[in-house]
Parts: sequence; structure tokens; C-alpha cells
Amino acid sequence: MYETLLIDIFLAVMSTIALVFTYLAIIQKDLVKAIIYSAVESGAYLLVFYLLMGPDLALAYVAIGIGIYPAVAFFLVKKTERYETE
Amino acid sequence: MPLIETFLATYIILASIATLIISLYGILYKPHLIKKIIALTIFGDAGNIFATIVGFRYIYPVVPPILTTENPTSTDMGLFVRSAVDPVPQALVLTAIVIGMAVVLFIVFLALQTYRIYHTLDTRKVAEQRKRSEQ
Amino acid sequence: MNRKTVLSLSVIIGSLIAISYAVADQATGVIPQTSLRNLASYYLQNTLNSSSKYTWAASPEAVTAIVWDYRGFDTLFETSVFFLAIIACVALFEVDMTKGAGRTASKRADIGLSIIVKVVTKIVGLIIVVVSASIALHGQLTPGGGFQGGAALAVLPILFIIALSRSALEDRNVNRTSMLILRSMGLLGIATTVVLPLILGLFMHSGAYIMQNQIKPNAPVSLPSTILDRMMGGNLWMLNLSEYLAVGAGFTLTFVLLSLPEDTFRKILEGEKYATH
Repeated sequence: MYETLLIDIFLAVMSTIALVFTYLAIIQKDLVKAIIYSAVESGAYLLVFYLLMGPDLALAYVAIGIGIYPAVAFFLVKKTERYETE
Repeated sequence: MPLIETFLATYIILASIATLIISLYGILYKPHLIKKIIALTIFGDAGNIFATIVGFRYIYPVVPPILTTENPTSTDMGLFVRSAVDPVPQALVLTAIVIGMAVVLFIVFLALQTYRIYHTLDTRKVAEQRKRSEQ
Repeated sequence: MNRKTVLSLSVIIGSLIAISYAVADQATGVIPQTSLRNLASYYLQNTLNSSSKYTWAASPEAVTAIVWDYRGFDTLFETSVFFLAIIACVALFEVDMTKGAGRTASKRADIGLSIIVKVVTKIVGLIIVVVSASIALHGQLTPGGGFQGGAALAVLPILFIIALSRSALEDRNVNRTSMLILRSMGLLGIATTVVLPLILGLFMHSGAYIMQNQIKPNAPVSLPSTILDRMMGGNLWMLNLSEYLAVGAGFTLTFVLLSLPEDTFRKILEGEKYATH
């Protein structure tokens, strides 16, 4: 009886963490920190996919949301500019 | 008890919709190209979460849509169909992940080429340079 | 985090909680559902049902069967969209590779990170190859499949470019040409598996459908569902293997192109004329 309540509370906490880090990533002016915030948000969504009974999607998001998107974005930031002006 | 469960389920759906709206604001109102790319990836993530929530079943002994025995009998199949989650939205989300990634890879290459030609990544300054060169 | 950020965050979360309470009191009806839709019930019942051989997909995992068997054409066109994006990226960064663009001196002790990181990266690289191949080849039995394995394999060239240097990849013959060859071999594997039932139908003197997995009415052509008493799922393992090769090589190609140093492109751009300056 209490297991569903615990799983639901964990899902709600993970969704709130993702919402908070999304807002911080959009507001931030230093682009390196914005990329790391978006990687943390992808990790929180990874746990939400696992609890919603979708293991294929969780495996796909480990490789993509934490490995490939931040790596490609870091290459781009290294070759262009780091701070967003104004 | 059912009030708390319905409250938490509605809260999760609304949190994913709020993430969708915040990332859409980030795409439209921030003029730097890399910030637009980051907001685009978050937008895709939130859309996939919403599609998976639509396919979820809110019962207690819930299992993922994968059989665990090699030759299932009809009682096994009956238990499986009574407690498994919808597999169709998960297959559609896999396709959506691949296509989103193809688009983001191409946009990253285009952004790099834009920096080499205009020496800036701010879309307002690129528009000024193009308008100045047409006169 | 200043006061404006804290205020905005509290307004967003507070309004979310208020609307959630209003909906939870059933102001808009019952939101999370408890019954299964008809289409999902059909797919879940027929994915390993050996009593109706016309509609089964010979694999205990419903998601892989939907992606590669019941809705195989969706995945075929998604693979072609990904291929078009990579070809566009290769066409945009056209350099003359025969003049040794981007080569630095390799095997010097002071490029890259320290020696502990280099040795650990080589060990972890071997583990990454084994784990990603396992994820890709078990796609018809466990969660996984070709695309997840390919994306996990793509982490390997990133680690090598960061810890060792870019010329460590060049010494092992990982350049644009060889990755394009590997990707084309993967896509050729998918094309062969799609056309294979037609060729088998020629030998059996009967018609067949493209991308057909098990027997259908008027077309008794099928690929074997168990090989040496292991479940193989028909053509699912061949499609997973080809997709693993194609996706892994495609990502590696992108990183090889993205890590070229900037002065090769600056010379090309200064030789052409642009309208801005």
C-alpha cells in the first residue's frame, strides 16, 4: 500500500529537480555551467523514464543526454565564445 | 488516500508541461545560438516524457512490456496483459530521439560555420552585418 | 542565485501546486488511466504467441518487435533521415585530407593528459566496446537494441580525443574515409536484410513481402526464429547488428570532423570571397 506512495513521491521529486535545473540553465550567462545544468536535468529525466517502466528509453538517454549532447556542445563552446553578452 | 495519488499524478504531468513551456521561452527569447541549441535539447526531452506518461498505467503490480519466460502458457499471457504498460508510445519515442539528435548535430555544424564567417554568434549582430552589407 | 531567481522559482512551483490540487479534486475528470488500449492489447498478446503463426513476431520483447517488425518502415525512414543529416555535415566541412590536415606529432609524452589517465582510458575503452556490443546484440531478448549500443560506442572516440590526442585516432586509421566505409557497410546490411525475403521467395517459388519476418498468408517465407535452441527472432538480430555498426560509425565521423583545428578552415575561407567583408 505504501510502495506506490513512495514511488509517486520519488517521481514528483525528480520532476521538480528537472524543472528547477531547466530554469537555471535558461537563465545562466556562462555557457559551460548551462551545459552542465542541462546534463543534470537529463539525468533526472533518466530516472523518471526508469520509473515509468521504459528501460529501452533509459538506456538510450544514458548515452545521449549525458554523453553526446554535452560533448558536442563543449566542442562548440571551445571553438567559439564562452560568455553570452547582455 | 486516492486524493494524494491523484494530486501527485497531476503534479507530474503539469511539471513536464511547465518544462516544455520554459524551454520554448528559451528558444524564442534568447539571442545566442548556443543557448537556443541547449533549449532545443531540453524541449525534446520534455516532449518525450509527456508521451511516455500518456502510455503509463496507474495500477499496482505494473511490469514493463517484456516477457520473461520462453514458452509462455495462457495463464502467463493473461497475467502479462493484465499488468503491462503500453509499448507503442515507447517505440515512437525511440524514433523521436534519433530524429531530434540528427537535427541537433546538423545545427551544431551550421553554428560553427556561422562563427567562421561572421565572427559572432549573436543573431542580432549577424542581422546587422547582413543588412549593412546589402546597402 | 539572487532574489529574482528565488522569487520566479517559487511563483512557478506555487502555481503548479495550486493547479494540481484543483485538478486532483476532479475538476477536469479522472487523469491517469488504468485500462489498456486495443492496439497495445493486440501487440502484447501476439508478440510471442506460437499458436497463431501468422501474426507473431518471435521475440519476447514487445518494443523491439514494434520498432523493427510491426512498424519496420518507420525505422527505415528514420535511419535514412539520420544518414542525410550526416551526409550534410560531411559536405559542409569539405577539406583536402591528403595533405595531412590536422596532424600533430604523436607519441610525445607531453601532449594529452597524464600517464595514469592514458592507461585507464585504454582499459575503459575496451570495456566500452564489449558492453556496447552486448547491448546491441541482445536486442531481441532484453532491453537494448542497435541504436542504444551505437550511441554507447560513440563515447569511445570522445574519451580518446580528450585524454590522448586527436592524432592517437589518426594513427589507428580512424579518419573520415574509413568511417564512411563502415557506415556504408552497416546501411548495406540493413538493405540486404530488407530484400532477403524476396530472394528466398525466388528459391521457394512463391511471392514474399519486403521486410517480412515470419510466415504470412500467401507468402510462406520466414527467417528462422531459433538457431541452435537460442531465440533469435527472425531478422531482428541482423537488423540490430547492422544498425549498431551504422550508428557507431556515424557518430565517430562527426567527432573526427568536429575536432579538426581551426587554421585549416581559416585558410580555405580566406581564399574565397564573401559579401560581408
